[in-house]
Amino acid sequence: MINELFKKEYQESLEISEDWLQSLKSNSWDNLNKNRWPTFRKDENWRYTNPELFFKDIDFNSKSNYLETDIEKFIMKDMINIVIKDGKIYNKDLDDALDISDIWNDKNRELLENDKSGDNFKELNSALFNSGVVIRVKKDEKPKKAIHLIHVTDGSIFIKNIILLEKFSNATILESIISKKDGVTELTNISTTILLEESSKLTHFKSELVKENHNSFSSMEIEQKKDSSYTNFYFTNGGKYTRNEIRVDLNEEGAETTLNGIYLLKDKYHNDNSTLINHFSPNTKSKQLYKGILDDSSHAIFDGKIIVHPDAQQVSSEQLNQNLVLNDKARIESKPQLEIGADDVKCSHGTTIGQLDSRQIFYFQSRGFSKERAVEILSKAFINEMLKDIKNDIIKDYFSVLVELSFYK
Amino acid sequence: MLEIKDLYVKVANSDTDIEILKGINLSIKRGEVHAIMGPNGSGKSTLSKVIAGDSEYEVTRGSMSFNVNFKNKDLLEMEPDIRAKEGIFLGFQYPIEIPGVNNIEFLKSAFDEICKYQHVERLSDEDFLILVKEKMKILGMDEKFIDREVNVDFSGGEKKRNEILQMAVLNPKLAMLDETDSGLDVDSLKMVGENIAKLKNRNNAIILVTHYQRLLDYVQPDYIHVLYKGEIIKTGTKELALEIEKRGFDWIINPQEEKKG
Repeated sequence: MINELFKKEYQESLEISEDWLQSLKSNSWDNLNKNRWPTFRKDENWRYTNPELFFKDIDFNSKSNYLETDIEKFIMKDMINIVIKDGKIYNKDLDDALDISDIWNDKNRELLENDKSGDNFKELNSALFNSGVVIRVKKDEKPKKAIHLIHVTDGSIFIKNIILLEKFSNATILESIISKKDGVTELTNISTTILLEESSKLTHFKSELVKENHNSFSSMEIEQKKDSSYTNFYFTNGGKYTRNEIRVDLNEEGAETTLNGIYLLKDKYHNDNSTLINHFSPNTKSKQLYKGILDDSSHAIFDGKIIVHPDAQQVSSEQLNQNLVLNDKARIESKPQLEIGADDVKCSHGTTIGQLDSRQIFYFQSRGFSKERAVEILSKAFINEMLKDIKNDIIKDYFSVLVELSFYK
Repeated sequence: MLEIKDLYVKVANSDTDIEILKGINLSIKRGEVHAIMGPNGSGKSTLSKVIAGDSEYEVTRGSMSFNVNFKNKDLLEMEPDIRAKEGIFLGFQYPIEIPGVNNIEFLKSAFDEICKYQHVERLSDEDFLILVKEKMKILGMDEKFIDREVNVDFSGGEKKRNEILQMAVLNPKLAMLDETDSGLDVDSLKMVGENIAKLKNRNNAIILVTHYQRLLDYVQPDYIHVLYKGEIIKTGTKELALEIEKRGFDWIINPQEEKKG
């Protein structure tokens, strides 16, 4: 039924593709029709998020109405800005350490052919993608500045990105999705594959500044080789229906990964963070910290799974999910899961769900702060703790502003 | 300044109707120092928290009014922050730790809130810092406490000094100090006591909640009230505190038995 919705989109997407890409897309479309969509509540990974709701009432018109002056506002100083608009690289700054190309460019054929198939969300993306970029960071290189990847979109869009870090390279990327269309429901479906070669290092920030009519489904697959390091920092202030899936495969020894997430939800927003970390090799490390504040009747899900595969000894893995619930109607489902197949590992996980401490609120009040102000300051303190470790000052300031804006009423 | 009449208080949202304060009458005029003494669990801390507006307690009967500039204001109608803005200050027995909030920013924001409410001109950040540093010096507080998180990793004595620092900066009309003397060593007690005495003037009033007479060596009280099982069972002058120091509370609580003995 979902597939029917996209038939026209699929045909259109084929028309604009080269032959080799057409065959890849039709392959994915066939898989999509062979596979079944996950079932709400029945499938373990879909107990609290209904896959069908991402597609409810969505508008397909994905042409952007942005003017050049609008786009200039999103360009950040002292960063390598890459703007993707209407499916194409619209504007990019240059750096010798980087090779940046549109996803559908012929030279990316091999990368796309090697891209793994997946569940129906991924297959749908692979059949329909009409926008995206491949960023290659060259061997031993480090761009002079952090990269700012901006997706400008109006209406629904399917984006596929591949980020490849060659051996001993190092980069910082900030990814923003910007959308301003009002009135209609839109869907952003982004699939990102990140390949980290030996001893490469990627720090990846992602902010979703979406509106009440925005559905977003994002899936990231990170493949890590020997001694590589990946850090993800995700921020969202909601959206109608959103899911952020991250799968990390620590394939070789010495690979390390850190996932940080902040979700600040209000109204009826729904945000689902599902992470899966596969420790396939010995001496691999992972660390996760997800913090959320839930107001009004918002709903958050944290579903974090860590699998330590047999023979992956000397693994260290930490996971923590902390939630502040400001309203009786808000809900959080937190599901930490640990599967350990090796015996010499160090793993910890935990969840906290709580309200603000009434003693602290009274202390503020007794010093002349209104209750609302006390709640705001305490909530910000709960989140700002996570920003302390951001090393890039521009991005740190940007995230501080995002937090600040989320509390602005 | 403060008029409390026939005040009854119980724990809020509790099933029991057991009252912690039973018919308190207290009148405090500006320029006065009142000490509230009594054994543990007599309701001393509750009284000061109720005056500050702690929602953990519920007033079931009686009235509390606060007189500022010849206007009587009903405290029971006021949120805790409004009471603070009107000039009521509670020095906590156990000051609360606020991780992630900077000590001086907290104090500056509190100061600004109160200035704004009272239509007093605010200070620039620089002038405020000068004011705070000056007060800290008098209190014997290290300047490192400026940039620390509010009360986080402070020792007991440091927390109490931080409370007095807040009082010194916020300059309240009525300051209630809840066992500010407990947990202090002799030198700290002297310093805190002397500073409270310095902060006292003709226009403000102080309520000292204490177990012991020792703080009263530094801050001379005009009245001593003995609170027992939620009632003020005796009111006297500073000599009463000396007598309590010598004889304990028993002779006041059980006058009959005391005579027999």
